[in-house]
Amino acid sequence: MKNMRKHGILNRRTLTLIIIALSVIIILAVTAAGFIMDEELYAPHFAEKNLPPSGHHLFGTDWMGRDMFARTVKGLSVSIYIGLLASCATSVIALFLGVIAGTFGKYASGIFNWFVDIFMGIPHLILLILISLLLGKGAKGVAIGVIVTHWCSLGRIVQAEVLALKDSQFVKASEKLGKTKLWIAFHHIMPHVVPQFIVGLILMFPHAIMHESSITFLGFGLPAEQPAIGIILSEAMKHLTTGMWWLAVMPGISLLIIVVLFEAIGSHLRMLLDPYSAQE
Amino acid sequence: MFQKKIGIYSLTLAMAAMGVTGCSSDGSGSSFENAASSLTEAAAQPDGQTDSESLSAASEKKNEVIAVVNSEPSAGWNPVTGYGQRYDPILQSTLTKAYGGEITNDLATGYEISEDGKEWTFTIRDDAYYSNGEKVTASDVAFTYEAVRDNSTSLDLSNIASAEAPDDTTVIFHLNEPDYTFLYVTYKVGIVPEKGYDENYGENPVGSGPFKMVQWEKGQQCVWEYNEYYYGNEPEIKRIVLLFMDDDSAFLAAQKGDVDIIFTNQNLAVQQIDGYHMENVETIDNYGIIFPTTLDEGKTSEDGRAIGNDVTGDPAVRKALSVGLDRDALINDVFNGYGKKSFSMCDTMPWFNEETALNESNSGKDVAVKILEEAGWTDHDGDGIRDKDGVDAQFTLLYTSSNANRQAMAMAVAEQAKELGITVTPEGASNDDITKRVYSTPYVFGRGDYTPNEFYLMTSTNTIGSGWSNTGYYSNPTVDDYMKKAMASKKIEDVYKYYKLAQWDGETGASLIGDAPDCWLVRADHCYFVRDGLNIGDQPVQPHCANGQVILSNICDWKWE
Repeated sequence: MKNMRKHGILNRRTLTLIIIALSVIIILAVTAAGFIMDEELYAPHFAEKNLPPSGHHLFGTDWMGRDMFARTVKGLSVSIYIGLLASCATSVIALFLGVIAGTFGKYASGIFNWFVDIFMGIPHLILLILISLLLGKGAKGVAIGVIVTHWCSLGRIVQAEVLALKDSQFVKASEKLGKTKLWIAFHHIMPHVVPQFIVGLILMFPHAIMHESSITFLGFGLPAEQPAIGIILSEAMKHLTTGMWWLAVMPGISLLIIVVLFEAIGSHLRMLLDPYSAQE
Repeated sequence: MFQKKIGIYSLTLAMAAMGVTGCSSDGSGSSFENAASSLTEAAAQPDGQTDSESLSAASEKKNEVIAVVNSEPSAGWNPVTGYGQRYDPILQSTLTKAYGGEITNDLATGYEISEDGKEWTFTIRDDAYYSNGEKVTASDVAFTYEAVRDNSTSLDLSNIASAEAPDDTTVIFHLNEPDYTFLYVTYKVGIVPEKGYDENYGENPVGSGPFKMVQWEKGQQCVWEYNEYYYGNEPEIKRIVLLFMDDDSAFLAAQKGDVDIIFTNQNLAVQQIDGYHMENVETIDNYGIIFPTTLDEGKTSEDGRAIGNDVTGDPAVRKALSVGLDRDALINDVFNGYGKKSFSMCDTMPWFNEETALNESNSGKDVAVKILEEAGWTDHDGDGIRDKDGVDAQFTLLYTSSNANRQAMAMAVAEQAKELGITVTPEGASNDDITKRVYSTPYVFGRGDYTPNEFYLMTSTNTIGSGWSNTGYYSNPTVDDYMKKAMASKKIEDVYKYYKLAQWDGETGASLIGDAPDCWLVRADHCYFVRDGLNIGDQPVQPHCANGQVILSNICDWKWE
């Protein structure tokens, strides 16, 4: 009780919940704003090109007179959308493969480890670029690229968790009762893995978003007319020489904030879900 | 968890780092690091001076120029593989020159055409020598033209049946078809020596131009020195250092004061650099839209590319855009004012038909709307987009995504077309991807040279489907007929006359008041920051040239003041 007093009126758990809620609200707001945004807001207005940040244009305008604030919000929402989609899909793969590898003995885990080694052995970015190029770039290429490459580390975590669970009493008992491995996997092991999985999933969002922006920045991702954050940053590069700092700095910071927010959600959620820290 | 955090932050940092070192997304230039190293190496002169003082010392001697261009010829300095076809090769000499569209003698001293137009006899000067002291002979000329015919993909000389040299100063070209416009290829071919020519020529070019190459470090710099065997007037500039950098690196180099002249883009051109002034040269570097001119009938080309577009297949839509788009606004919005209006491939050239230039009475939004309404394009279903027979007036406009000018052009055209009731959707793509769709999708393009052949390539039925030429499947028998007559004309004045008629004969033509197969909008100025005191002479109208080397064409007139 004494410890809690030190934090003032809010106890740690409430504070954690508030941080999570705030982060979720901000992210949802950005995403929603991007989706319902009128295209006119970030259309070119050549009469107002190259303006520094002001009250009228919060993030300034670019060389075609497009409002950078609107473009950034739209770009972030596109990135978040692709990131969410790709993270969810890749997590499902990780969960599925991890559980199978853990449950079905030596051969399954041998093959699983072999695949993980292959994917982890090649740098993510290079693999992503290759896959994206093969699939004709665009949102589809990026999303599938992220899905195919990002399941490895989460898959490993799930597998380790499963291996630990396999030796537990209730699993052994279940085996003795004659349940099939599949039944055990879905009824005993999955529920125990879920908390780890959810945290892993959320911590994967920033990865996916950053990778989406990176390969778009390098020109292998989304097309140039799309207001994606990678496009915005790579266009800004061409104008740094002339001192138009706001083109790179404002969207860059915005991207960083979104990534940090996801990170905050993930780590605070872990505090709540993890039995060791949940009661602190 | 800690590791994950590190991972995320290092990724963020990596992004930031990428931002700083700046990979140029168009792949055309070198990165900042490259630029920096090429600068230091430019300072390292052959005699071992390495400090930057030697740079300024060299400039004080007033016979050296350090010039920055975007890129070097990818296949080397070899006219046979395409070097110097768009601008004076300098290292080699050509039979003729064509600054501003007027053909003058260079290596040639005169020419005669046979009665049937199939035999061209050139006499060449007797006092021309290569930089290695060997004499330039007529058989070298014959050899070069045949080699270009057999090797070059960018210049079509397939009309040459054979070339022969009866003596040292006479060369005869035998053509398959009569062509009196053959003269317009003679300024595009730099002459290489038959003796000693091999596939490595591009690395060690030997030519009879005013300069010879003494050093080439690929991707970084190339050093040229005066060729003392050159037959023309001795230039005041004796040494040229060419540096290869992208626009941003070049701009920074100029800000540091390390270079004498840089090629730059219209966005950077509005900046000021102390000690430099802006020279913007008028060009026939046309920017515009190329339309598919046939309707989509489900046909495909031999290699499986779809042909036709139901919206731009209607001449009314093409014409409405050609006359309705506000060129002044495009010049200001896209090119920061560095440009002139463009109406055809032929503007400013002697074969340009002045009648096809737009004026206040035959252009503007109202005229465009009238053309559309008369053709039946009205907004029947009330969705703000014109339609005709159930087809909405909308199309995708492709542009090269790495080219900021073409992107801005596509965006600006889309904004303007909206006011005409036509929906244009810009879409960026690589040139390779654009190539796959050129027969069915309009695209933003840049093109222009000192020859009526350019107009021929874009509009002749014979050139349908060859590379970037006539991708719109445009075909008009009357136009073909005029161009055939032009090629069969024995006097240059008649060539001009028939090309003018091919543009517009009062009833039809391949210009924007005729069939409008393409819509040329802006001739973009070429912009150069030039160090104060460097006189770059009278620059003629420049052709389309992506890397800026065209500025050197009159290097023999340059001087320090």
